[in-house]
Amino acid sequence: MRTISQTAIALALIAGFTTATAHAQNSDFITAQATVLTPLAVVGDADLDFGNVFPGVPATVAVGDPTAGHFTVTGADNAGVDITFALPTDLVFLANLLPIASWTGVHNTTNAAAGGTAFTPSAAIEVSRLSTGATPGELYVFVGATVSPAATQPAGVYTAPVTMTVVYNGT
Amino acid sequence: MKTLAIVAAIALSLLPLIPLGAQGRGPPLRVRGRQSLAFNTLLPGLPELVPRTDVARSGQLEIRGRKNTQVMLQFLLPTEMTGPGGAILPLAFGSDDAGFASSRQRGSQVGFDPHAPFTAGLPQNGRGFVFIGGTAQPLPNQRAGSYSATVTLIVADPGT
Amino acid sequence: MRNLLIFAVAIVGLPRVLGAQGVLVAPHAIYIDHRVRSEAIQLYNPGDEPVEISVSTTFGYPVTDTTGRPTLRMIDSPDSTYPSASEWIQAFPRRVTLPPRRRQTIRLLARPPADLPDGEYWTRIIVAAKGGRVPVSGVAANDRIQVGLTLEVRTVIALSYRKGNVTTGLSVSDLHAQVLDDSLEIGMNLERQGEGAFIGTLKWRLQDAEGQTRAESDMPLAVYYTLEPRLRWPIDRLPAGRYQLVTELVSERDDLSSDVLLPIDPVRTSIDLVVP
Repeated sequence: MRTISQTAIALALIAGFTTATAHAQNSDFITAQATVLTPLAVVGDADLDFGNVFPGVPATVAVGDPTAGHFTVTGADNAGVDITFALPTDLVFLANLLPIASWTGVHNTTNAAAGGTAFTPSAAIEVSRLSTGATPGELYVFVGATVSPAATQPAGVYTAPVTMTVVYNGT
Repeated sequence: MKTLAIVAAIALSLLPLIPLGAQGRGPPLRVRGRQSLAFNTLLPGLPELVPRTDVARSGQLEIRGRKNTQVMLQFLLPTEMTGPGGAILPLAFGSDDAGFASSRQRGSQVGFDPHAPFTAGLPQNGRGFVFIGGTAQPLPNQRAGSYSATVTLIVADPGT
Repeated sequence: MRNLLIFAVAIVGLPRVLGAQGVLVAPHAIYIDHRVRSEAIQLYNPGDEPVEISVSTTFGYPVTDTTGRPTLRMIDSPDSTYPSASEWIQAFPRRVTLPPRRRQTIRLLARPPADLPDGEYWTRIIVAAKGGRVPVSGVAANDRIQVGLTLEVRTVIALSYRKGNVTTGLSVSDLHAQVLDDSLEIGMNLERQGEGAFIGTLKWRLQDAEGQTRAESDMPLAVYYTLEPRLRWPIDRLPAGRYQLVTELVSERDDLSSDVLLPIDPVRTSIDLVVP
């Protein structure tokens, strides 16, 4: 239907233009060109956030918690990827250290930790594939951990980076 | 879209058969495509605007006719580009995406709406340049590959 | 109005989240011809914060792990027996701070040795992205401990450099398969022929005794040297009986232009399967 109406418009336009200006006329065309690239996007879109913790009281963020670390990978349909992590052993505030350990991870082709594949981020390589089907080319990764502040832990803002590396292994 | 292009091509091929009764002295009215409208590389989900003043990427056509005469310009604009496996990539043209100039200097362009007929004056040397920009709107799941479409310009001498 | 809607849909479709730290890299595989010696990658920051980006190279190629899953073997210092291009592929710029929702082109220039023999050379491009902000929730006070970890990402994509007439091919051996309750496991040994890596697709279909296809699927695959994949697909439960598994390896990819794929004649193999 759309094609028919477009065709009608084109004919009317050409005919109208021709009738109204039945004089010298000429036409030529150019092309509009574009090349769409297949991207690979890796985004850390929610930091692993423990909020306030208390001296001598370990605190855990589970992969299903709202404050878990969250990465989104988007790319080609069914593409194979390797996932590796570089993880800190301590968080840092000035010269003070706060131990972090017991890392947990889940990856899933839908954006939910539940029903995903559990893995250990501190292990060597986790191999996965991006989604295929209705919503192709997606993978979501959730990360949790446990911090263990000492009884004498100085107050302050403790931070460290978590680095996730995504390797395309299908090319 | 393909049908549109075919019909447009047939219609345009008939144009030379129309009597050119009002032609005056001087060279015949001619238009020639000089440069494609090049969006180059696109990323899925990221619209890309090519301004008509972009010397390297805007579409460009050259008009030659009688000096100091008026010409009417009318574009046939595609709404999408076609790519691998018939995939389509939406294309949009704004109301100021076309420009006319009596030289290839981009600063001398007068903008106009490519959706509507536009009357322009050819200068002393009988040459004019038409520029066309636009916006490619790849979808978030746009299939990778090369896409293209045809932008046609009809130029007529209104006989004034 | 329609254009506005398309634009809105496009923006919503992007992985854009407040405070997100990451980068979109395209294309996801790069091919450089010796006659051209350069190529470009596009970077895009989908977040609302500037991102510091660095680009570097390393050497690696796909292998299969002990369970038969394709993975990448990274070699920091490849010896001269490997066709590494890591030493002579350079990125410009190598470091850049990308403002929110901005694109950046990175040029990749090849400066191979003058006596480089014909063939295909490989490297991996590492794009590392980190944000400059450390947001930590919780109550800020002199007597409180606040803890938060920022997320950084690295994206690793393939680069192949081709000089001269590069060909590829595949030999397939030991095709084996078994139907488990709700899945099909396929294994095979693949050995690349020619000078270039095979980049293509493994297609398979499972036919019943009447020749009707009961299940089929495909998967992108890259064979640089050898690969011994053991791959599993979910399938509907099949009635007991005899089936035939037909596999085909073709130089086709949905995610790559045919211009960059080294062509091969399709390699077909089949075996009989019995579902108890």
